[in-house]
Amino acid sequence: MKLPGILLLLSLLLCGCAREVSPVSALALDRTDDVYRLTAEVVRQDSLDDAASPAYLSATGRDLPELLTNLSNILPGDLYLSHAQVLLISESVAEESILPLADYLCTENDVRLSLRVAVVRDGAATDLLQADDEIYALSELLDRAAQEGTLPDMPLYRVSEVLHADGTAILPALHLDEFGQTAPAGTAVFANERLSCFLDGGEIGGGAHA
Amino acid sequence: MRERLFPRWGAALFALLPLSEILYTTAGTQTVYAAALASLICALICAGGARLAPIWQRSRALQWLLALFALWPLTSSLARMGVFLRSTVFSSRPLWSLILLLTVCTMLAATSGLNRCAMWALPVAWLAGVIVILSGILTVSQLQPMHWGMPDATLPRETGRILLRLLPASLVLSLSLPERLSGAAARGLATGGALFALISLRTTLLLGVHTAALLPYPNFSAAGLAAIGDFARHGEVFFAVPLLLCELGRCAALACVLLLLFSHSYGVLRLSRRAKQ
Repeated sequence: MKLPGILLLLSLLLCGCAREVSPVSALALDRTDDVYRLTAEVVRQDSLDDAASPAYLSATGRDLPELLTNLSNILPGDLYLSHAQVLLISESVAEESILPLADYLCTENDVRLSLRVAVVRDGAATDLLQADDEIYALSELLDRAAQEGTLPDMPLYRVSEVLHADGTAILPALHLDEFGQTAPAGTAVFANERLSCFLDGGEIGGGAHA
Repeated sequence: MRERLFPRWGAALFALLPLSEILYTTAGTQTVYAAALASLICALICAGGARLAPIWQRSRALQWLLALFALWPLTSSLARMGVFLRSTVFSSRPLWSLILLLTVCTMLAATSGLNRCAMWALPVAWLAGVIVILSGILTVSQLQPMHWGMPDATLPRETGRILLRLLPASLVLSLSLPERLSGAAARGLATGGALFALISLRTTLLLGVHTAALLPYPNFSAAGLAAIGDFARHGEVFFAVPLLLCELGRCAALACVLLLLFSHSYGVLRLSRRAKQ
């Protein structure tokens, strides 16, 4: 009976959360000059009907580690990135090398390798993140588009791999349509780890997409 | 009735050794071949070691030497398990407390004797094998064959690195076997080694060489991509638990070799001696 007791002891260690956590479902990264702004969609379940609703919190900083630290400082619980499924980056962020960003996210213990990265065209990533009140709507949109083949299927681990291999990658692009809804906006092409163009011929910051 | 270490238990005990390496091994194109090659070399050496075991056990000095040698794989196993748990789950707990807890668990399991440790190794090895295969199957659709590579000049170095971790424990256990179980030891190591190589192949084809090189525990991270719809999205937890049990079983078996020096009341070695007397 000793071994089952030991197994039980070990399995007890592997379960449960000791502290309150703030699960993040999506992230948006913008840049103004040299200052980055990270916005997190935090899942709240404190309503009377126990329905999950999003709350948005932003922090500024000069790099991703600083942003995450600043963000966790303003959260009520521990920053929990394991449920994060989408990272939106604005064109201004994508115009510089995204390889350090991809590498950092890969090595960050909490972040899942299946996290989907998308480029936001013609606007701030934060605006697109906040446009939809439904949690996980963005990830469902990207999953569906990847399955249908209308957008590239590029989770974080593939982004990192192709950027390391030759610095070239394609990422899905999203935008807010005329009704204020999130919609696919073609494919963002990266060369030398930087946003080079969009596949529909639209220029960076241009808005020529269909 | 005299306790007997059945060959299937012995095979399971030796299968735990390569399975224990899965969590900590880096993934690359050469790791696949290195894992298979290192396990094969270990299987051959241990088959010879198991044949020498009865001669080895006649000498008290050699037994002391073996017990002291067993400290090396035992402490390194406990240390790496502690570091793994701290960096993945218990980041706020001090490392020493995790290692202490694992040591207590190891010693408690070891006091039941090598025979019972081997008996428990059978379900643990099956569980780990099934989970590893299931994890591989669930990610088959995401594999990218372009990441596959042929053996190159770095293969001997990679093989040496795996051997350095796998061989000491295998050798200690094969020389401590109470009965002629050379075939079982070789079978166990070969089976565990095959699973080890297959899961390394899965990780390389899934993550790619560059991404896998970034990760401290690539096989563990790759297992996180195996999900059944929205259910079990944290597949790495289901993957890691049986493999940690494998490592605990390995530690317990190594601790049995240590305990046999101080007491003759544990394990089948005492029984086989009594039988000889």
